[in-house]
Amino acid sequence: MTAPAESVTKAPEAEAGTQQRPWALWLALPVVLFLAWRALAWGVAGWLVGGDEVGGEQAHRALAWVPDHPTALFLAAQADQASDPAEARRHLQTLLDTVPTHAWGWLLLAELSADDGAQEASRRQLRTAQDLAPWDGNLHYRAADLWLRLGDLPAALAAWDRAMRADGRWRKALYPRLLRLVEVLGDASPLAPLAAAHPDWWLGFFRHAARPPTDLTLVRQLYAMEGSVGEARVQERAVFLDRLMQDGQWLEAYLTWLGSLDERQRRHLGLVYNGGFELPLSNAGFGWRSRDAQGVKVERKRTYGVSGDRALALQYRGRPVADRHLYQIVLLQPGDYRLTYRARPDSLRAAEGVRIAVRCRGDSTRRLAHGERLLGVYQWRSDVVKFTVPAEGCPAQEIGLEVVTERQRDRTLKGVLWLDDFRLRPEGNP
Amino acid sequence: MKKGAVALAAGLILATTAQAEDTRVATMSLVEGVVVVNQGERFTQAHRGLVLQKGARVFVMEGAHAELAYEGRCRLRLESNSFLVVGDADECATGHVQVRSFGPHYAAAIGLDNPETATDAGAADTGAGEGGGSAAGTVAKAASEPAKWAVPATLSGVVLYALIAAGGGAKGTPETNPISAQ
Repeated sequence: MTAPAESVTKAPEAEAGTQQRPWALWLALPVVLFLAWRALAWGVAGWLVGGDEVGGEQAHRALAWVPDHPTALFLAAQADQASDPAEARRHLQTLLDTVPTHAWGWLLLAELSADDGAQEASRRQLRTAQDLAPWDGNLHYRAADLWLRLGDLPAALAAWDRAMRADGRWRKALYPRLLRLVEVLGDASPLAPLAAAHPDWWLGFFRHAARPPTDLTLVRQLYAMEGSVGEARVQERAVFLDRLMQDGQWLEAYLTWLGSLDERQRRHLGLVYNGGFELPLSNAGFGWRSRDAQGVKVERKRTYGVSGDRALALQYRGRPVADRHLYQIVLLQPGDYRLTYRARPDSLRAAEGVRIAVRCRGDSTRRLAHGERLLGVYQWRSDVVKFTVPAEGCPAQEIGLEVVTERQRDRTLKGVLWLDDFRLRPEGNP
Repeated sequence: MKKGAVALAAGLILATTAQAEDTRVATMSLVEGVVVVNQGERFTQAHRGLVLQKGARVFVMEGAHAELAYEGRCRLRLESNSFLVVGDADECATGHVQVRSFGPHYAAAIGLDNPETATDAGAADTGAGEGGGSAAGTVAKAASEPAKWAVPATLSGVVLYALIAAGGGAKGTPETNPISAQ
């Protein structure tokens, strides 16, 4: 019953609103049209510069729609950089007045300043660009090029460092350039300040740089910088030792490796290191190395009859196995030696078995001697291998497992082989 | 019977001692830092007074140094990162010690053509303070020389840029397209 009364009382207000609306509409219309125009213009400009491959012409057309469109201004400046530097600078000035934090705008401005010979201004603008976008690896990568043009090597290196830290994808591009740099200079010491900060990219770079044909003196210098810490340093050392061995620098490799052992590890030093497998396999330097994870699983385990606490168990998986799936490089003076070890095959099935062999390392890999064939199943048994290291052509040696197969036909092994207690001593006068 | 066994044991000990005396060449008179000696099968950490026999291998680790006193009062100093195979008792006095030194890597890289240096005289001090320069001494001298890179570092920025910056990135790396960064 009250509803009609309300409609009656509201009727005069509604009538008044209807009378005022035309004025309001007329007032709002220009604003609405302006906003619509701006939306349309920004939409078109954005569309023009929104593609992957945007040319200068499109950027200039976009500026015709929106004269202060940041992306269009930047692209137009970039397009004009070579042909019309003054116009490019005007675009950048407008851009940076509109968006003072546009890092790429500052970078382009720095490039223009460098082109004009205004090196101090260029340096200042470049620093501003880098400070505004610390996360942008792309920008630091390009900034480094400009630092190089400006002759500021430390700043260029710092920019590369920032690029690699910001985005790991830059490493692939920058490792060769860092290496090229130290090769051109003939010295790696400019990288020392970077190495001192232990960047996470250092190990990858060292791996890249340590490969031949990089000059070994540069590799030594990079290693001495200790750019990695912890486990990364262990891996770096392994890479370095392999390079030294590859170049026949056996004694230096041995001294470096020896110096890396801690007191506990040194207690297991002999002519064979860790012969009782009481320590984990290091897979580096002059420690035990295992490979061929597809064909054999190598583990240190407790079992009966071991000397010490553990022995090494090689669990063959019924697949073909390569030679040297377990080996250790040793560094012996020329002379006669006696190697002893203990082995226990456990249901080890193969065409002809495996055996311990001693070979030369270096230019020649000739076999010096080998032990008895290991096959089938039996209890712990000792074996002795006597051999002579010749005075010439055998600078280092290797003790390892090889598959016995005269015809190279069947290298498949299945079952378990236990090994323990490797000892090596010189025979006769040293 | 018992007397015979004792005599046999005594004879064996005497024979072993005599053999050890025969091959004894030097003793470690000073050891600072980690110095490792390999004689026979085992490696031991060197200490003052350790007897070195012919064929012993002495490894002086980085940051360490050692001194050997040969029979006949000749002393040999071994610097950091060096290696020696002990030879005859008169090798020190005659100056035919084969010391091989490595590094320090940094110095080797900037100053030496061949960082592995073998020397005949070693750091032999024949009692009166005479003796040739050691391999390690050679390395130290190289380290004090101006770094080679001081010269190429004076290359102009443009030359450096041309040498190492030109050429762009490798395949599979991000494009240097600034738009993607906005």
